[in-house]
This record gives sequence, C-alpha cells and structure tokens, in this order.
Amino acid sequence: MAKSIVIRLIRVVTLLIGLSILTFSLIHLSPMDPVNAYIGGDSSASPEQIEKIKQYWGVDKSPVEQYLAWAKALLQGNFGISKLYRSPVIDIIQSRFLTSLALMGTAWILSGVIGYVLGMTAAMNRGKWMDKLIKWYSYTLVSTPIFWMGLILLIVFAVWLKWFPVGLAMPAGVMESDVRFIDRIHHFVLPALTLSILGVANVAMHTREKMIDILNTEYVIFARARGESKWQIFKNHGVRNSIIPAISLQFAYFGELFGGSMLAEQVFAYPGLGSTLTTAGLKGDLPLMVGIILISSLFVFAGNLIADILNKVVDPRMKGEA
Amino acid sequence: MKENQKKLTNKRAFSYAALVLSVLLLLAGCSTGSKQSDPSPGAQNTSKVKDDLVLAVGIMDGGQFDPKKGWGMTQIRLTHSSLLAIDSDLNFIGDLAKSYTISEDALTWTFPLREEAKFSNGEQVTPEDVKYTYEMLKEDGIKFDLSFVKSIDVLENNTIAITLNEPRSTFVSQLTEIGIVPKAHYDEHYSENPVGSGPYKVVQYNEGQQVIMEYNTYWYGKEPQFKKLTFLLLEEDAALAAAKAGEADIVYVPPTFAEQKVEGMTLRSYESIDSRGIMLPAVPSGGKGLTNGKEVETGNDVTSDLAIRQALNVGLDRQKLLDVALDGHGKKAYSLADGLPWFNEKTVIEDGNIEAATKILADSGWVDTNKDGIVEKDGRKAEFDMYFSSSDQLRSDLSLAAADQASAFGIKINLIGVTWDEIYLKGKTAAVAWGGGRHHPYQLYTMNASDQIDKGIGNMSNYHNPKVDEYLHQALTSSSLEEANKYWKLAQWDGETGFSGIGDAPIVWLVRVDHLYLANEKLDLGKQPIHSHGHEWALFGNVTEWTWGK
Repeated sequence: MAKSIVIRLIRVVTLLIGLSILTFSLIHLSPMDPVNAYIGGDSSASPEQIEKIKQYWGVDKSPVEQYLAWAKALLQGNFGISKLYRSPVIDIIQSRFLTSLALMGTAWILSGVIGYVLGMTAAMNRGKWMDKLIKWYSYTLVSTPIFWMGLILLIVFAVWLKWFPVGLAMPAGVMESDVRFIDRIHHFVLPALTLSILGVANVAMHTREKMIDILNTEYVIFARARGESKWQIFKNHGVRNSIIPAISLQFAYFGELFGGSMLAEQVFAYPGLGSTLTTAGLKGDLPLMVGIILISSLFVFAGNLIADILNKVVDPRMKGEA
Repeated sequence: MKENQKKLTNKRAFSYAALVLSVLLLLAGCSTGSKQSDPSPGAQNTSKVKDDLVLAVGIMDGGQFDPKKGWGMTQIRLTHSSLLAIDSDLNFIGDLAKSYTISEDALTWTFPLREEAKFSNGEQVTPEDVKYTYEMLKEDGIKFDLSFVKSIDVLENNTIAITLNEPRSTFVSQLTEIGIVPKAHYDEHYSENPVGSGPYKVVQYNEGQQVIMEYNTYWYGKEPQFKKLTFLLLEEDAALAAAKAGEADIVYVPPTFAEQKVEGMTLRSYESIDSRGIMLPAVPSGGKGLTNGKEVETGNDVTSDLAIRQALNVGLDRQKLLDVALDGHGKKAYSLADGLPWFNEKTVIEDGNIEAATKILADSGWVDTNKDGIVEKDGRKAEFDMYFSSSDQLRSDLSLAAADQASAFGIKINLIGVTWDEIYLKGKTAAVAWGGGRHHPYQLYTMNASDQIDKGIGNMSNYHNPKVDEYLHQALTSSSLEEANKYWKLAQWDGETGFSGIGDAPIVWLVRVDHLYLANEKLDLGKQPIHSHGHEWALFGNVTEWTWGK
C-alpha cells in the first residue's frame, strides 16, 4: 500500500515536469505573440517600447532559458507574476480556486448521487418504461454540449422566467460585506445545475451496465431462487458490488469536471479557474497558464489517487496489486 | 484592507462549504423561499430620484484603474482627472489645469492647476503628483509614449511646466488621456485600492465580475445625479441577456443585435470616429521589414499599383457596405478623420462608381483581355489576399462585402480570416481589414509617415511620399492646433497629392461604426461628443451629466 503510493507520487512529479515542458513548447510553437497581445491591435509603440515589452515578457531569451528560470523559481515555491494582472499567480489561483471548487464539488456530488440512483433504478427495472426513460435521458444528455445546455438554462430560467440571475457569482452593485449567503446560492444554482445535469448521464449509464452484469451473476440468480426480494438483492449484492466501480469512476471524473466547468463558467460569467485559464491562454500569459494547468493536473491526479486507495480499502482483493 | 480580505476569505470558504450542503438540501425538496428580495434596477422606487445605475457595456476594466497598465482614453473620466479634457464639441479644455499656455518656440507647456482639486481621500492634488505621474509613465514607456518629453518642472503658484525635445501638437492627446495618480499612494498594488481625482471612486472590484463605483464627495466638478455605478463585466451576448432579464440600465449592443427589442429600453446610437478600412501594401513584393519588432516580408505587386488602390476607393459603394455589414448603423469614412476639425472635406467623393473605377484601371493598363472577369496588366492578374481578424464579426462581414463589390470592376480579393498574430506576420504582403480612430489626429501620422515604417504596427503599407511626410511633420511640430489642422488637411490632399483615397490611398477607409447601446427610456445620456475607438468606455466622457428623467 505505502509502496504503491510512493510510486504514484514519483509518477506525479514526472507528470508535472512533462506537462510544464509540454505547455511551454506548445505556447512557444503557437503563432501567439504575447507582445502583440499586450500591445493590442491599435497602438503606436516605439521600437524602444517594444524592446522593453519584449524584456518584460522574457521573449528575448531562448525558450530553454525561459523554462529553466521559471522552474527554478517554482522550486522555491514561487509561481511567478501574472503578466496580464501583474499580480502573483498564486494569489489569482487561490481566489479563483474556491469559486471553482464550490461549483465542481456540488456538481460532483450531485451527479454522483443522482447518477447512481438513476443507474440503479434503470438496471433493476430493465426493459420497463422507467429504464427506457432513464436511458433516453442519458443518451440525449451525453451528446449535449455543455455550453449549449448552459445557454438553454440561461434563456429559460434567467431571461424568460427571471428566477435566477443571468451571471456572475454575486448580485450586482451589492458590497461584498452585504452579500447574503442566499444571494450566493442564488447565483450559484444555474452553473452548478448545468455542470451536474451532464455528469449524471455518464454515471447513470455506467452504473446501469455494471448492475446488469451483477444481476446476471450466479449468486444473484441463487439469491432470487432463495426468494429474496428485489430490495434485498439490491441491498445485499447490488450496492456492494457496484459501488466500487461507481466510486472509481466518480473520482476519475475530476478531469472532465474541469473541462466542463471551464465552459459553464464562460457561459455564466462565473469567475473561476476555467474562465481565468481561457483568458490566460488567449492572451499568452504563460506563468498564469502554466500555474493553473499544474494545479488542475494535481487536482485530477489526486482524484485518481483517491479512487485507487479507496478501491484498495474497500476491496480486500485489490490489496496485492500495485 | 488586508485584514478584511482575510476575514472575507475565511468567511467565504465557510460559506462555500455550507453552500455545497445547502444546495443538496435545496434540490432534495426545500424551496428557496420567497423570490429575490434585492430590488432589481428595473423596479425602481418612484418616490425618490433614482441615483444608481447598472451598466453592462463590456469588459471596461482593462488597465484596472492604473494608467501604467493602460487605464486611459475616456475610461479615466470615471475615476481620474487629467490635465486637459475634451468637451462635446471636441475642444481641448482645462480639467485639472485651469488653462494652458504654449511657449513661443512651442517647446514648453505651462499648466496652472485648480486649487480645489482633491483626491478621493481628501488630499490636495499637487503639481508633484502630476510630475510623478508623467515621469513614472515616461519611464515605463509601454502604454504611453512620452519619449518626446524632456523635463517636467514644478513652478510656483500651483503650476507645472512640461518641456519637450521638439514641438508636438499631438501632445494634447496624452494630456487628455493620462489620469493623475497620487504620488503618496501609488505602488504596484494601486489597482486594489485606486485613489483618483475623478467624479467616482472604486469601492469594490470583483475581477471578471463587476466594478462598483460611488460618488467621490471631494470631486471638484458638477455633482452627478447618479451616486453609484455598477459595471457588470459581461460580453455582448451576456449583456443583452442581462438587459432582457431587467438587470441592467445600459448595455452595449453590436449592430447584429440592434433590432432586439427590450421592454422599457430604447436603442441609442452615437456617431463615432471608430473607422474601418482596407490597408494595402504600397510597395512591390520582395522587401523585408519589422512588425512589432519581428522581422517580416513586405510588399505586394498588385496593390502597389496606385490604380488598384484608387479604383477600390472610388469603386466600392460605402453605403451598401454599411447596409450589408452594419445594418446601416454607421457612417461613410474617407480618411480616418471624417467630421473632425482636421478633416479635409475635399477627400469626399462620389463612391460606388464602377465606371470610374474601370476607367482608372484601364488608363493604367489593367484590362480584362481573356474575359475571365479579372483585369490584368502585363500578364499579371489583379488578384490579392486580404486578411481579417476572424474573431471580429464586423470585420469579417465588411471584408466579405468589399470583396464581393470589388469583383464587379475586375479585382479579385481572396479573403483569409486569421488571428491578429498571423495578421501581423503576413500583413505587410497583403491587404488587411484595418481599424482606428481617435479624438486626436496622431494616428494620421503613425499610419502614413515614412518614419513610422517598421515601428510597432505603424505605417503597415510601407507608404512613402516625401511631400506627405513634410506636411505630417509640420503638423506634428506645429505650435498651435489651428496651424496643425491646416497641415493635417494638406497631408490628406493638397490638390495634387496626399494620403487620402483620392491621393495615394495606402489605406482605403470605408465606414465608421456607430456605437449602439440599449438604455432605459428614462435615462438621458447628455450631449455625447463624437465617439472615439472603444465601445466599452466611449460613453463615459460626460458621465457627470447623465440624468434620470420622468
């Protein structure tokens, strides 16, 4: 157990190094020029100014030099200064991370719980109308782009019904200290809902498949023969056998959650990591971008690690394997 | 400030944790209770005068209240004051400075400051603050080019004098666009707690979400009716959604949304100098140059023929372009200065004249001999590439419409939509959908003077006309604005030559974009000067004059 965790930790370090090199090279290869992005499309900067900007962005050095300088600073715990916001990257990430975390956390729990229940229901009622309905819902949603879903919710609930605000994380024109908790929730519902609705489909379909497999096993047939009711079968065999794959899937789902939240945040102008990463990418703010990418990959890695550890804890049979 | 921040963060962390739980409960069947209780801006209380506004006019926080980061142009009118300002008739008038005088040799500008000017923290605005601001920006040199400033001296009687290396009539542009910051409270954290001497002060800034401003009681000018402004930092489509949901009093709209009806709001349209045109290389291919400090190839063998550029200027139908690309929400443009004091009206022509275009081409030897619809000269077809920013709907539509029209007189334009980075790389070898427009004539210089070639993105056409250079230089170094305007006009057209469409036409200017806003029908936005570039902040020039009618 301990050994496998150590191996994984070594793996994550190499992963992060690889990722940072990859991000660096991709940005270097892209036609994106941070100098242009900074000057904007309508200016008359003199050559001396351009030289200054080049120094400021560090584009006058070779990419290898740039990378090494950045990596050295990072090892001392310094993520660098965002070129766009001219403030420390770590501060920006901190403030955005909480917002994103709340969004993703809620979506994650909701999609997990609801998805599992739906998947189970479908499997236990295989072939009946309930199953058909859940399957239809899931297939439709799996093929729905998340930003489109967000827009639909926005049009219906914010513009037509006016139940919820059209965007942002707090009411307009209210001082931070006067924002009530209920206001935050009010602004939070639509983006969280968008993100949850789509996650549900995935979990539901996987759970359904798994549960159907379980229902076809010999021990379930034997249980039926002994006269166990549906509920008893579900309780004694279904849950225990299907919860592990469901949980693994749920933790492994961290990555997709990140991608989804990026789009949802854009639609609802919800200031989280996702929308910040988009801005950083479009404007070529390298330190901010690499910072967010590293933090997000750590996050996704943590999800997978937890899934593995949980599997081992819950299922004694998994103990021996690294 | 920091203490508060900490508390907030903790509080916030706690509330987010609780949030997750409560949303669960909420969806498990608890209802949210009553409807929203905070009053939306639409539902205003009739018994008292409305004194707060919610605006969704775009991402207006570029530069984050700090001139060093690019907080400038009409943006600064909200939070800062500058030495000079522009009135609604485009006169340069005193703002922080009571008046200004220019020395005989046009090198020294002297500004006596207002005694009653105070920053939002109640401290007096002193000449030292002005000196500090200008020196800091000159040294930074990225957002404002002040390289022509020689020295800044604090004189007696609350007066400041700025001495230049050479006369420069366009100095008024910087004087109106540089907001003064307090020397005592300026550091790298200025954006978090900006102190300025404008009508409003920033009381809360949630990056990526909103900016809340309140009336600065120390403001020396006319007390505005609106004591609180909330800016929602939303993109065009989200802003429109906010308007439809009754959450905003003013939103900006692109021409494509102009037909959208929102109850209780009316469409406001303001003429602007925000112009669009086609930049055309004026030299043959094979050269090398610099764009934003990067080495690029230059020149194009078709567009370097004057007949091609002049044919486009007279042959393209500007009114039709307006109708197609802007739904009619704009004005014709002939030389990036239309309607301004330095505009030469002789450059206005009868456009959309296909016969005249064909004649210009034929006289120069461009004839369609093989009947394929494209004219040719010495075996070379009149065909060239044109780049436009693909993320810009307006430039895309305009390019398409222009290319379509040009085919009627035998010029074939191949359109390529790319990113700005790509445009800067290829832009000196092909046509580009170009833009510009300011309240001052400096861009006439940067886009057409030969000494601006290879500087930044100045003079992308590599256009070089000694006569025009002479006029431009005289305009730039004039000691009075009247004299300068005379030379700006001559540079456009002196009867024989010039950089405008009837002259060498390195850039064929086509349209000026009207700035469109949906605003509450009760809101009076005062007399707006002709708008400059910048849909997000062009409105704020007269922000203190806005009123709420009955």
